[in-house]
Amino acid sequence: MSKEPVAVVGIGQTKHVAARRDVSIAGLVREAAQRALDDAELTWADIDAVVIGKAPDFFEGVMMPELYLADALGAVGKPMLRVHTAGSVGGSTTLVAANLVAARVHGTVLTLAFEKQSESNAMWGLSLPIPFQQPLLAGAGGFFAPHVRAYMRRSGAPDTVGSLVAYKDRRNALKNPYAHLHEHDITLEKVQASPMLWDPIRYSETCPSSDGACAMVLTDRAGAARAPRPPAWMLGGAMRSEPTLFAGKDAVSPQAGKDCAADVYRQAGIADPRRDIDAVEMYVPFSWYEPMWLENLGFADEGEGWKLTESGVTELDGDLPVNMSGGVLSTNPIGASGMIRFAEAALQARGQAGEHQVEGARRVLGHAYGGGSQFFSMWLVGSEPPDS
Amino acid sequence: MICDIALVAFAQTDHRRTTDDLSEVEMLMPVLHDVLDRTGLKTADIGFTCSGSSDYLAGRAFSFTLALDGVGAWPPISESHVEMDGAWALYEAWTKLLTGEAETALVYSYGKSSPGSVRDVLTRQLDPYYVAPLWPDSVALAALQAQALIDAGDTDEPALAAVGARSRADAAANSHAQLRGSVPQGDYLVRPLRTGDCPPIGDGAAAVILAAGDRARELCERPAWIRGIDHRIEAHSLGVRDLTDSPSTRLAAEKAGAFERPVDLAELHAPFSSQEVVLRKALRLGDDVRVNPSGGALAANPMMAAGLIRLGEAAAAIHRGESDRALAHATSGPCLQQNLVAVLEGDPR
Amino acid sequence: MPEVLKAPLAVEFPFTRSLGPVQSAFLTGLRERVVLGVRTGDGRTLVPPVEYDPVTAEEIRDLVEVAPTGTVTTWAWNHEPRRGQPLDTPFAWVLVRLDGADTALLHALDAPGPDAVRTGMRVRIRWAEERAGSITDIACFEPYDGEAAQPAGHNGEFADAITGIVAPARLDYTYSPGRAQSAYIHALGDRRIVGERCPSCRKVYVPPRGACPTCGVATAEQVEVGPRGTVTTFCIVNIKAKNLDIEVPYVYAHIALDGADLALHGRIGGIPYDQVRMGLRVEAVWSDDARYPDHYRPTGEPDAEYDTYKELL
Repeated sequence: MSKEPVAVVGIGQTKHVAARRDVSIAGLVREAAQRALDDAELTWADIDAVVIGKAPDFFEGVMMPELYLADALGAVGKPMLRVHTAGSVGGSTTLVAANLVAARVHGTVLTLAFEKQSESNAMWGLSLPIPFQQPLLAGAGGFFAPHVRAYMRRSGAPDTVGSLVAYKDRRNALKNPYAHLHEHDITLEKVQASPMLWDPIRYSETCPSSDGACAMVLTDRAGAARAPRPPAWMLGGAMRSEPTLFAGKDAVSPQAGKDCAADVYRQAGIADPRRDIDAVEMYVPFSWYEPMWLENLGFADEGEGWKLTESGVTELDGDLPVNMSGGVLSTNPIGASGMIRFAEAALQARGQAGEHQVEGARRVLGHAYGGGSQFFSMWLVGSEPPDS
Repeated sequence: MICDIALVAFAQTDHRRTTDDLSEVEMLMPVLHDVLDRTGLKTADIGFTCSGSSDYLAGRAFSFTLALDGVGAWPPISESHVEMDGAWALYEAWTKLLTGEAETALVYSYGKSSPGSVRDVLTRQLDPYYVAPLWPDSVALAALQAQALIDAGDTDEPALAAVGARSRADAAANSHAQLRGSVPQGDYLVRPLRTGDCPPIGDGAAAVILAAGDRARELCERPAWIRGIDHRIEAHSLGVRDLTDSPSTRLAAEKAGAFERPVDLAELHAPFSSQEVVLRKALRLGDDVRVNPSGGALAANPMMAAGLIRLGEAAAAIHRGESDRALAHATSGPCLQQNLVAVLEGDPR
Repeated sequence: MPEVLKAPLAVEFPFTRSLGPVQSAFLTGLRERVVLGVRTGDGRTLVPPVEYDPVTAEEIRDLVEVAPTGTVTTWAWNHEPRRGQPLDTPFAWVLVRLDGADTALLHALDAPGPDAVRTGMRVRIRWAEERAGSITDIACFEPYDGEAAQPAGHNGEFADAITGIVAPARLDYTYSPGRAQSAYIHALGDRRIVGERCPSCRKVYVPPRGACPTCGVATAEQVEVGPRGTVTTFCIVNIKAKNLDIEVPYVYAHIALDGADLALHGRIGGIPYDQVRMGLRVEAVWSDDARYPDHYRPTGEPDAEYDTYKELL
């Protein structure tokens, strides 16, 4: 007997901001969850299980916060799972929840991811003073910038490409009411003139630090049939991991990312992703990762990804829109960032993305990654159920 | 979906008060080798890998990423991680196998309680506004529960002492246990709990292999079939709960089919003697059921692994032919807030 | 085997917690010596008040005042208070159901000894002398044999309600890096950079982490690498990190030491930052007081060909 098809029938997120000082942690997650329930026109009693994800517990200083959040998420008397796979966690959390439906363990599952970065300071959480270790010699961007340089060397990409991505994503964010950064006066010149923090990465090519949560209601065929709005159907989903650092690691185009995409495409019957996929919401914490992931995910040959960006293919009105929501570059509640990618893909497939809707988007890829470019999770969602 | 899934192999470390000579991956890796060796599988043969651990125990963010080094995740593997006891990692792997996307799964978890003060570390699990600022440690919370049980007439101090004594006596036959044989009941740690009522603090790791259908039969002479598995959570605040009962355990047991037929063995994750009293009641275990022949968490309680070890010990008893139908239980959170129950069976002999 | 390394690790941060409406009212109330509960849809009063009904999951906002007196529902005698706990002399942990409440609140009870405490005993709040709007504005409970106090019927509205708390937390760990890293760190003391070779794939890992991450087996054979190596990629850091005393701009590079099969990270010095390039040959420069090389400087050798290091970025 085959898997149960999985449908997204509810999506909710908070307005992402630097600091949500008006809510508790419970209030933050509740807001996203309630919006997802409202979207699905369901009540707490309709939810069979809750799957929650977030990045390191040190960020809020609460160990296994799902224990405290059980009440706010209506999980009392229900199963509750907590996923943590570094930056990819929002995607992985979605896939764990989807499996509960696919395996027919539950009919309707609430999945949610969050981060309330304003409770502490992410760089503190990421650079605890571990004895004997060499101190980090650069901030967050310093970890990624050498890989960007390696990509530029390998691909011969002109150094203007990163700014194009940032300019595009920040303009897309203006159409997304939930995005954190709304830079109404953004121009390409401003991006290009922003300070070079970790050369080759400029300030405007980095992501903000956000408080936010994202939630989705996943359900089976019967649940989808009752849904008040068109569902998005999961056509494929996969996770892949490789070690943090190892001899021969390709940090520019990690094998785990390639394998993960290939698995998703196999499940969804995608022969040529560039042709068969209508839009992509990918995890781009620094602008240069757009061309890098375009290659890694098979939308361009190796060394060619930047040409898609440069020629406008990835613009909202381009042939393959990328990061319609404004992306991680515009919104980054770390633990939720992966789920926001997955949710945006589902919004697009449902035709519910509002001003940043891609006309006729039928198959959309959601992508998340984390750790040392080692954990990948992706799903492909469509407007039609699988095998139909 | 008709899909039989079984635990086919189990391995664990010798649990020790401290393993400061080993990094987490150095502690974990031999267990991974051991569990794979028991089936003849290699990492590349495994369809899905899932682990459980806690950054707060380790005192560093993303600690699980370094533990992955011990797996040999190359070529890349299908893998996930829960910030929970490994019993819940097993649950995630079970759902993965149910979907048919994988036929085998490696589940592991590990925890080092020795680097920090685990009583204080666990206070960070509590309501961050009303409770965590008071730093009520895990023994204190368990003691509040124990006193509620005594007040309700469910137990008394000698009965609690007997639970601890029986656990350590049984652990004499378990070479992995940290406390084995006769252990003094000791003084009050937080009254009414004495040191003998409390788990040893220590480091350890465990690993299990799951397999589906015929694959399970190939890998294990007598697989421990998962007849049911379920988990439930309760409200967080102790003040809104009846601490003498565990409705989440009972509900999970019902959903797992535990009450359909009697079990002959139960491995309960009861870190405190008083919690065994609560669990026996919730699970309606009769005196004819062998409870924690491994010694349970009172003999070895490596945080994040101790729940998975209950599943592993119950499965191993079936593998050895010492049990035909066993119940395994895992817990998380203060005073049994969240509970998982699995019912395992061996093929008829 | 060299001695196992250990060192203290303090994980400490003053977390800034925003409260939301219900918790804001409760903690502000404590500052004003008013105890608030919240009413659920079915008429129960929860103290301390929470935002969501633990039974029905409904949002609850209906605040009501309850009495500062109540009854112990269970207790535990703590003869050895720990850091951060409400009292530094022996006390009882108690769950107290305040008069007018249906649920219990966790706090400390100041009592002369365990014989003076029992379930069902009457207690009242002892307020802290200085109150700022936190759970510790209740200093503790104390035994009380009077009538139930009558709440004044406060509606939970305060003129200057607090909206957040600072919750400092410190946990102390003893960190030990384990066998492989200890050996690496010991060798650094002699200014040698020693990796370990995987017995299976033969790759040399620097620093060694105890396991070959691709083969999943222990590394053991020690291999000294460097001191020279090749810059495989880098970035120029223009932003000063809080905890680092390095003048910007500087170059942060991946350096493949000769004999190592993956790059480690270091700072490049002895050359203007804008002249650093991929393929530059460098060597470690040690300072007197540091465990790790202070930086790496050019050796003057010709640059390495890209093909020789392209797998080591």
